[in-house]
Amino acid sequence: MRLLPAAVSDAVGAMGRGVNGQDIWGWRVAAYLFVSGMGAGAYAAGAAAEWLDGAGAVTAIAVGLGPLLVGPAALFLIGDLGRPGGFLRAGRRPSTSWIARGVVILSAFLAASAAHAAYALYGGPAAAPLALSAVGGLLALLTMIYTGLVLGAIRPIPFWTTPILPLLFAVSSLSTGVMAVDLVATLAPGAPPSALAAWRSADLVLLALEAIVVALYLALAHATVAARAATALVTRGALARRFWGGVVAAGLAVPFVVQLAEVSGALPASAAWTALSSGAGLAGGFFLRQIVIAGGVKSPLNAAGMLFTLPGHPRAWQA
Amino acid sequence: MVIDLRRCVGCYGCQVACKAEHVTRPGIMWARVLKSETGTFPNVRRLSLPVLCMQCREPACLPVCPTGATVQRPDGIVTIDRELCIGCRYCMQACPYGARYFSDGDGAYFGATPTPYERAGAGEHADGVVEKCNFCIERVERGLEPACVANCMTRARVFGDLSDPESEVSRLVRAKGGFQLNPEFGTDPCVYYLPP
Repeated sequence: MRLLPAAVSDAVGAMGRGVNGQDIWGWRVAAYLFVSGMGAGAYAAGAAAEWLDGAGAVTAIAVGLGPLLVGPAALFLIGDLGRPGGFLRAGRRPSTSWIARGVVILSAFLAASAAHAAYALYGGPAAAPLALSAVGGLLALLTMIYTGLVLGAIRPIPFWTTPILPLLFAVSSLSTGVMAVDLVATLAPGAPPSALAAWRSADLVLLALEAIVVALYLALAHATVAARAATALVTRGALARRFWGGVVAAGLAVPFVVQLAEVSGALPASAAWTALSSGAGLAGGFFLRQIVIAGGVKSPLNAAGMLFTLPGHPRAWQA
Repeated sequence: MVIDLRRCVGCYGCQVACKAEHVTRPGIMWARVLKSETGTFPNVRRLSLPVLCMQCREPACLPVCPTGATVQRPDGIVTIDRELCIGCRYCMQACPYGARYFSDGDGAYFGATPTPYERAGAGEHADGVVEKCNFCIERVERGLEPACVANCMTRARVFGDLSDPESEVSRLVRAKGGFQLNPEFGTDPCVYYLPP
């Protein structure tokens, strides 16, 4: 029994089998999304912990990781430009372009988080840290979500034009940020700070939330041919190994199980376990950005009921 | 511009005429012909779809440009200022019609050394920026038709002024049910197709 008109089901079949995601942006953009998200997430978690608990060794690491990760992350984007030397021009049109808005957001976040990190190192007026963490925390949140809006402004790629994407980036950024803090604090010289248990508990909540958001993201991307082709590409096509192995197993399951065992005391506290859970979780954060970027299937052109898949670009400049 | 899909035989003449006019680099096609086929033998349907920059009235590529390199001229033609473009390729993502190409500068058609012909046309291109069809501004301003129109052997393409309701293009769109490609993206293209 045919549930779909012949032309439509053929098109889904044709797009589902030989379909490719966009080839205009590649691993550098995914790496930027991952590293900048991790840095902003670490900073936001540190700022929140300062509000709740006051400053300490772990919050200092978290706040410092913000500018230390987001700054270099921007180099991935600059390196991806056809004319890297002109990167300052990228901020010229914030009134309409999300890339230009991103330049403003990134610059403001780098300034605020660097000031906060300097305060954590050298000290300053007593009221400064709360003000800095409020401003910096807001900018960190914007740094995490604006990338979802950069992608969301691209109308012909339905896999990206969803309000779930900024949410997904925010949750994954917070989670990878917490794992980065956990990793650095554990591997730093001296005994691991006792405050890390609370961070791991928080990360358990974030990982569970992220699993739900990932499931929603894929479950609800089905309104158009290109959206269905994208989910097929990710869950059972060329990106399936990276999704199930990289995102689901390494990025979500491994850190959740290990951190749960650490928090509940089933595992002895050991740097090796933390390295495993955070290492796997961070790799998963990169794979998540990669499947989102590489899974961006462009809508086919439609002329008189016939669908035309747009050909890829013969030059792979991310090669 | 109006393209009659019933007249088009998919000969790729427009694609080649465009290459000859603008000396675009390998892999870059300001104008190109897409083909699609559905059904199973012997009940199949094939269609050729010539595409180019649609010179949209509401171009999706324009607002996303972070530098202001993409501009819409008063006559409606969308152009790229290659001195401002930084090659971020956001516009390529935003264009629903795949009309934009990244020019990375390497490769000539015949080996490493460009031919005299390629050298003569090199001034129109730059490295590390995005480029696209400009409706052959240089020809239109001299009173000529765009190269893809002038060279179409079946006269499937008609060039004219859509803002004039009495022009041939306006009349064809009205009389023959001209349609725009993927109007759901809200781009309001200035290229119309007549049904096959």
